[in-house]
This record gives sequence, structure tokens and C-alpha cells, in this order.
Amino acid sequence: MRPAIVIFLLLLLLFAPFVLDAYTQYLVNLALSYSLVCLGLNLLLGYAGQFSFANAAFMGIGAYTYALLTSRLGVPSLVALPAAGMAATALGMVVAGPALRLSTVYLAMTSLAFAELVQWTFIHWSAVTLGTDGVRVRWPAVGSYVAQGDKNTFYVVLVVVAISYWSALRIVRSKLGRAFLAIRQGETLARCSGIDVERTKTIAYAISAFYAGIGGALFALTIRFIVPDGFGLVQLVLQFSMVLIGGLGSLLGGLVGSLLLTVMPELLRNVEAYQEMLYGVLLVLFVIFMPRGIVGLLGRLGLVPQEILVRGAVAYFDARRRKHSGL
Amino acid sequence: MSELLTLIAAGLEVGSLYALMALGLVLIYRTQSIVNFAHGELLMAGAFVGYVAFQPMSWPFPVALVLAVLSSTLLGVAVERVVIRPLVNHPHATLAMATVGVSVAVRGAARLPFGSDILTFPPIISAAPVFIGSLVISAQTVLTIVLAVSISVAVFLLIWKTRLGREIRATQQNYLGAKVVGINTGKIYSSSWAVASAIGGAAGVLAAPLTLLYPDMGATFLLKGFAAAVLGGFGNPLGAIVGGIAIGILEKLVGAYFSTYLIEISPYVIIIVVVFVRPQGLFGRGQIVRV
Amino acid sequence: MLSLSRVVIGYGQLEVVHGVDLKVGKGELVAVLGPNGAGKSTLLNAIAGIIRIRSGAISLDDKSIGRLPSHLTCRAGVSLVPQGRELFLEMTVRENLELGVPASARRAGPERIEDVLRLFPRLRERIVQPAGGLSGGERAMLAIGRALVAHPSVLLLDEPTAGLAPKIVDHVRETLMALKAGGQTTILVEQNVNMALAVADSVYLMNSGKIARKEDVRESKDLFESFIG
Repeated sequence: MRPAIVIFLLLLLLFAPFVLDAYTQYLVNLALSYSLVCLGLNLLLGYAGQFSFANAAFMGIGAYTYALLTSRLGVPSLVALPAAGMAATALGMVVAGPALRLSTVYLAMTSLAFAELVQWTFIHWSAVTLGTDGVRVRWPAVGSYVAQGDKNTFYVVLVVVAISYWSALRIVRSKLGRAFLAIRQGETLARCSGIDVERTKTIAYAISAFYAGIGGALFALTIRFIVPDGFGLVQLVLQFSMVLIGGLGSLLGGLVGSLLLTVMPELLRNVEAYQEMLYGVLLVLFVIFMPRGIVGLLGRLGLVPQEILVRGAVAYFDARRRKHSGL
Repeated sequence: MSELLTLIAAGLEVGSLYALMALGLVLIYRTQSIVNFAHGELLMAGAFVGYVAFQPMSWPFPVALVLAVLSSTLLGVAVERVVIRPLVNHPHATLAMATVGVSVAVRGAARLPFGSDILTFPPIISAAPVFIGSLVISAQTVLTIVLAVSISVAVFLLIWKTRLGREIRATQQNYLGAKVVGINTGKIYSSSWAVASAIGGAAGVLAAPLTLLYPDMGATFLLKGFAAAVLGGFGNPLGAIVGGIAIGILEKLVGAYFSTYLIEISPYVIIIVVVFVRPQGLFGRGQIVRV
Repeated sequence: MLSLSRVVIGYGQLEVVHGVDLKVGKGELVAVLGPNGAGKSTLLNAIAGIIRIRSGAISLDDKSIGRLPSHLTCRAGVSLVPQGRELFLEMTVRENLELGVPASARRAGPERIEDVLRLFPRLRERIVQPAGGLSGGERAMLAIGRALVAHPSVLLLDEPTAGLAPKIVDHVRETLMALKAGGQTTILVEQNVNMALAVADSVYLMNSGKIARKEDVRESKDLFESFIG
């Protein structure tokens, strides 16, 4: 998209709090927080092609770091926010270690085990995390200014999300971003073209975790009360659905998916059963019929400039012949 | 001493269920290279069908068991035909993702009639406990272990002694080779899912009295099944069974001598430790690590 | 017997075989020669039902088999020995052969396997060993044997001698001659021109997904050599 259009849209968004009611505003904030979490997942899955289940844990670490730092230690929001990202990054580097040498199947299982372990820690390390009682989060403050209410919080969220997307766009268009894509296309080939696969993958995990952590922090300050249960398998399925429905391997896709899947459950009046069925069925349908997601479809219809789809980012989930190995 | 033995007996009981879970996972994995994240829901579906037949309907337990097995089998075959078959040549991650979707959708579907409440499944038999020396084992435990062992033996006989089993093994070893000798590989896919789902359904009914019933019950079993399969070297049916039993016993020992909190994380720790220390598992020679 | 008319085959966007006509009479051995990438293997895989054809028709004894899945073409009497052999490496030689016997002929299985063992005595020595431990030549024999126990109406051989020692190539050639003498209908895809010319009744030259010409084997051998290069 042309910068002018982006700036225009951002300006338009600045006026959102004047037209939205408080609850819709809250939903928009939530969707924007999720879009950062999805940005992290998308970079790892859609760009670097790493099938990891640890994203919900990264988000959880970010959310808890932010919540605990601000609520229990009184750390300013502007410090706690990057700290949340850094904490998640640290964890991402830990996961990257084994992930470098695991096949898809084992990576999926190990990262799932890891995510559950993190959630278990939130529950049982109650001296720090307050366990299942959950942590209450204050309105964010910048200096002496407190962003009271969802409408004021929106600006904090918007600024963080805009900066994050801008930086992510720089990353995917850089040499590093092309290295991610190369690894997804095939590690051997990437290695042959002089890419340090181990290093690039570790960086992918670190960056992805950073965005997910920041997203988690925004999530915490948006919903203002976090409990350990929020970062398990269901959370992960939600994120997968968002990324896949929006468009894997497209930064815009995560944004579209987050918006859709934050708003749609509201139409189902928050009935858990229907929400789960919706996420599950949508995930399956998109995997089978529309692996490039909504943005991919718009791109094919010419409604979205192809450059947004990021050159070469043909969906990871496209049909590819797979050799049926004996094992 | 007798406390230890009691713990081991209890460990055997849950462990045999983990073993069944792992056996199903391994069967599907070997046939189609799919990690079935919806396997826990096949167990959950079996448990709920068994519950409805056994409790509100008060039908005899064998009927409940058969119905549970049948419905899980149907569900599994339907998943294979509708979701997996169209994706059969896609990357592993796509397939795993699809099964994750199925898992959540089925869980949601179970919540519709049953809500998120926790239901109790009464013991299957109320016979007197069995005495072995100073050791007292409930009839329920004995029955669970006996049924789990019988099911495992039946599955092994099916795989190693029947024509279908041989065709399944042939397809697992060489898909193109199987096509060349005229094996209907589509039928083999469905059969593998059917067998794996049947095992899952039976495990569900056996698990229900032990763990209570709720739509999320499958997730716990899935992870324990993964842990068991990983421990046994993913892809090795015998390893899956040994792994399941080992995890069951370990869990009980950890719970008794350390902390019950640790029971929940034992499978995750086992998966992570095995992957780091001995990725091929106890018996495996599987391709865990990228070449 | 077996006839292909205007068969088109492709993968995804790519069309590999563009309208091939081919006829094999009963008891004939037809060789298809051509350079790498000519579409020979693709053609055999399509006859065996492993790849779907885009258009055209394949018929066996006036029965259309062009749209059948592989297990039904197999039942109709087509057996393929694929280029990669595709054996069941963890199973014994006997088990591999047993899997080649169709379910409908299970009773005749032991006898048919005995016939194959007579044809390839080397396999008899290895009968209880897993196929994964066999040498290249033995694997080729097992793959051919596994196809023969089905008593196929048409045997499809995809470069059975590729990568084999000359001595074993001779053995395979003699086996093919013996099979032909016994009335076996065969399509042989080869890159080894001498081998093909030695056994075939007629030869199709294939290039870039088309049959370039059909030749009687009695014609000059130089022609083929200039074609293959």
C-alpha cells in the first residue's frame, strides 16, 4: 500500500473513539492486541515456516510480565511494555534451541508440552503470579498521564501496534525477511544459498516471541485482568485460526483475522460451545479450501495490491507433493 | 512395600489407558505421517457415549462399551474422509493444523448437550476387591487393566496376523509400493483411523470412572499419549504401550512421594526431556531429527 | 489387448504427456525408449492407475481402465514394476511376494511364489530376510517377482535394469525372454537400447511427451542409437 493511504487510514482511526461506544472500543483494542500476537505467529509460521505451538506461551509471558511489573512492582507502563517483549524473547530463544533440530512433528509436540508447562507455572507459582486468582491490571500511564478508560487506552494500543507493524514490514522486506522465506521453501536450498539456517531460525523465534510478548502486554492492559487459563491450547487455536483465516505469510492477514475473530464471537453471544465450533470449523475449512486466507483471496481478485502479500510468500500450506515415507 | 505395590497397581491402571491412547496415535502416525491432535476428542466422544448408555439409559456396561467404540470409530472415519483425505499430500503442518481444528470443534460440539460441567461415571463393577498377599486392588482396577491388555493384544493380532494388518503395514512402509501391488490405500487410511478411533473410544469408557467426564478431558489424555509415544520412540506400537505404562506408574510415584501438582506436568517434562536426551525414545529408530 | 489412445497426462499446471497412442498385442513385448524426461515413467504410472490421465482412453481387452484407481487396474490385470522398486523393506522377501498375490487368488499363492523362486533362485536363498537387506540386483528381481505373482495380463517394467551390474542385466534379459516365450504381454521402458532391442517385438520412441515413431525391431539399430544419443 502507498504510505499516503496508510497515513490516511491511521488518521481515520484516530477518530474512532469519537464514534464508537465503549464496548466496541474495547473490542477494537482487543483485536489490535491480538493482531500483534498474530504478527508474531505469522512471522514464525507464515514466513519462516516453523510449526511451533509456543506462541500462546510467548503471549502469556508478555501478558504476565507486563501485569506483574506494573501492578505488583509499580513499574511504569513504558518500561514494562518492552520488558514484556524482552521476557518473551528470552523464552523464544530457549525454545529455538531444540526447535532447530526437530522435525515438524516433534517440534509441534515439544512446543505444545512447553506451552502447557508455562501455563502450569502461571497456575502454581502463585507467590509471584497470584495463581488462579489472576492479576488485575491498571490503566496504562505515560509519565503523569493515565490513559483512563478504553477510549484513551486505544491511543496507547494504536501507537504500539503501528510502530510494531512498521518495524515488521521493514523486517520482512529486509535481507532477513527473505532469509525467512528461503528457509520455509527448503532448508537445504537455503543453506546452499549461503544462509546461516540455525542463526536465522533463532532470530525468527526471537522476533516472533517479541511481537507476541508485546501483543500479550497489550492484551493484558486491554482486558485488565488476566488468569492462567487464557494462554492454553484454545488460545493457540484461536491464534492459528486468526492467522490462517486472515492470510498466512501476509502481515495484513493477521490484522484482518484478528478483527474478524474478535468480532465474530460477539455475534455468538459468547457461548463457548459455539465459539469453539466456529474456530475449529473455520480452521479446517480454510486449511482445506482457502489456505491463503482472506487476504490471499483478495490479492487474487486484485482487490489488494500484490506487494502486500509480500513477494514470494506463497502460502506455506499450499498443496505440495509430500513423499509418503514408511515412517 | 505394600504402599508401593498399591501405587504401582494404580499406575498400571492409568498407564494402560495412556498406552491405548499412544497406540492409536502411533497407528495413525505410521500410516499417514499425521500427528492427530484430535485423538483426545475421540476418547472424549467415546466416554460421553458410554456415559449416556451406562448412566441415564442404564444399559449394561458391555453395551455401553460397544456403543462407545462404534461411535468413536464412526467419528474417526468421518474425520479421515472429510478432513484428512482432501489434504493427504499436504505438508505435515497442514494436517496437524486441520486436526487441531477438528479437536476444538468436537469439544465445542460436546459442550452443547453436556455443558462444561464435570460429570461422574460410576464404577463399572461393584465386585469385591481382589487380594494379592497384603495388596488390595479394586475390581475396577483389575477390570480396566484386563480390558486394556485385551484390546492391545487384539490390535497386535490384527496388525501382525491378518491380511488387513499386513496391508496396513505395507502401506506404512511404502505407499507407492502398496499402490503397485493393488492395495486400496484409501481403505487402508480409513481402516487405520477406524482402528485407532476404536481404541480411543474404548479408552474413553475405561478412563471415565477414573478421571470424571468433561469436554476438555481429551486434552490431558492427548498429552499423556504423546508423552508415552515419544518415550517409546514415536512410531513404535510396542514402545507406545511400554511408554504409557511407564508414565502411569511414574505419575503415581511422583504424586505420592513428591507433590500431586507435579502429576500434571509430568508428561510435558517427559516429552521435553526425551526430546533433548534421547529423541529416538526407548525403542525407536524413528526420524525425529531433521536430516 | 492393451491400447492407449490420445492419452494426455500432467501434474498441476504442467502437461507431461501430450496425446500418446500405443498398442500392445497379446503376448507381445513392446519397448518404449527415450531420453530422460520424455514422459515414459509417467505413461507407465498412468496405465497402472497411479497417476490420473487428463484425457484420452486406456483400454485392456476392450475394457476401459483409464479412469480406475490403482487397486482396480491391478485387479483388472495390470502390474507395474516401478523404477524405484518400492519394496516393503521391513518385510521379508516372502512377505513381499505374498503381498503381490491378489486376494482373489490367495489359494494359488504358494504355487505362484514357487514359480517365481524357480525363475529367481537367488530370492530363494534370501526368502526369510527383510527386503531392506537385499542387493540392488536382488531388489530388482523381487520387484519383478512381486509383479509376476499377480499373473498380470500386462506387465509394466520401468527400467528394470537401471543401475545393475552387467551380469544381472543379462539375467533380467534372459528372464524377459523366458516370460515372452511363455506368452507374457509386457511393456518395457528402458534407456538401455541394446537390452530393449534384444527382447522387444516393437519399439516406440518417445520424446518430450510424444511418441516420435514406432519401429519394428528388425530395422536398423543405428537409428535408435542416433535417437537416444
